[in-house]
Amino acid sequence: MASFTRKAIREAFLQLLDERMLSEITVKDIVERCGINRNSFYYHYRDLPALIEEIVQEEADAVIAGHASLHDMVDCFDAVVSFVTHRKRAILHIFRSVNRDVFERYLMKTCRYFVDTYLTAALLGDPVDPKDREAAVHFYACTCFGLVIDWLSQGMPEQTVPACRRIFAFKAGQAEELARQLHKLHT
Amino acid sequence: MKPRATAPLWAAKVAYSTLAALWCVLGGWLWLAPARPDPAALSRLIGTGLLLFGAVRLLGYLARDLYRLAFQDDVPLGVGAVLLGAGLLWRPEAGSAFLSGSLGVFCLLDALFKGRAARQAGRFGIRCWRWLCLLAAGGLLAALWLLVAPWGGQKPLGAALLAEGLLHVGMAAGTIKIIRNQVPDSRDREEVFSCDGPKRW
Repeated sequence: MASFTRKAIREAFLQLLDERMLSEITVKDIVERCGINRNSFYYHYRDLPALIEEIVQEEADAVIAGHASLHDMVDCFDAVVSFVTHRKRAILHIFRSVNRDVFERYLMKTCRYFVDTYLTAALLGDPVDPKDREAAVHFYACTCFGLVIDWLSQGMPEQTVPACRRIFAFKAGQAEELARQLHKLHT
Repeated sequence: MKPRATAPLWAAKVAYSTLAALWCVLGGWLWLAPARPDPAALSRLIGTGLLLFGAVRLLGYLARDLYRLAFQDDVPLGVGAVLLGAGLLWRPEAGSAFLSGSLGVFCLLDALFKGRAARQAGRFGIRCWRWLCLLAAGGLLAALWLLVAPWGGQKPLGAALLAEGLLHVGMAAGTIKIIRNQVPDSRDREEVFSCDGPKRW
């Protein structure tokens, strides 16, 4: 459970991130906003990138925890979108900063987790080579990741999400088809 | 949660700024004065200044402002100033013989520590950190001049005091922040000394 100080620092940082770009935020701004002194900030966090990483990781873990089962790729995509839209302005400001690699790393982690969860359920009982399975997870995770990154690059317009859902709806039943192909390759 | 009282912080900041300004005045007067003042009287004056300045710096350290930059090294430097000032007041006639050397060393150390604080201020997000580095560099050069040319009369002494004063005025203006909603340190201490233990200092 996060301590009072860590919570105060994170809340202050997220408030600032909603107001301005990441490059315009300093540790000074955070301590002035939350009233925690400089030494206490550096006791808990090495620097701003460490704070960003913790926040993004916790958001990703919270979204993952909230989606224990997924029925199709549309569910996967919706789960990833919920991760990104939970703090839309803050995510966009991180995405448009030099620290976007941190965000992209956890976005990919989230995509892989959701796709893996879905395929585990979809391929249940089917004998699949682990390497082939990993390749399939990687392929679909990259598809999700690429669509979300493209959506972020455009500034997260609302009309894009339904369009992406349609793409996954076209590909419905792909897991079953994948299982057949992998089974054929395996035998 | 009730925020910290700001009165001790204001007291420390005002006293620190005032004494730093007086240091500038003394340094400027020594630089411009046509005749060298009586060495014993000068020792008493500087000794009093050091005693007061050292006490104020210790007060500033205990006040614990938001940024914790200006006074972070002021336990050793404050104690050093108090001891040096007390020595000069106790033996002003003898003190004048080692005034330049001892003050030069003190100003040199002060400039080095303040230079480090200026770089930390930059990392922290204070925009005027480069000016603070410049002031620290000026303090360093003036202290070196005082150390290598103590026979140069009152000009090196005046320059060192003026540079020292300007450095501290800059630190007071740029790195001491007082806000109304500062969280009490007792809350921080509860977490620092919790069962997880301190990670690093």
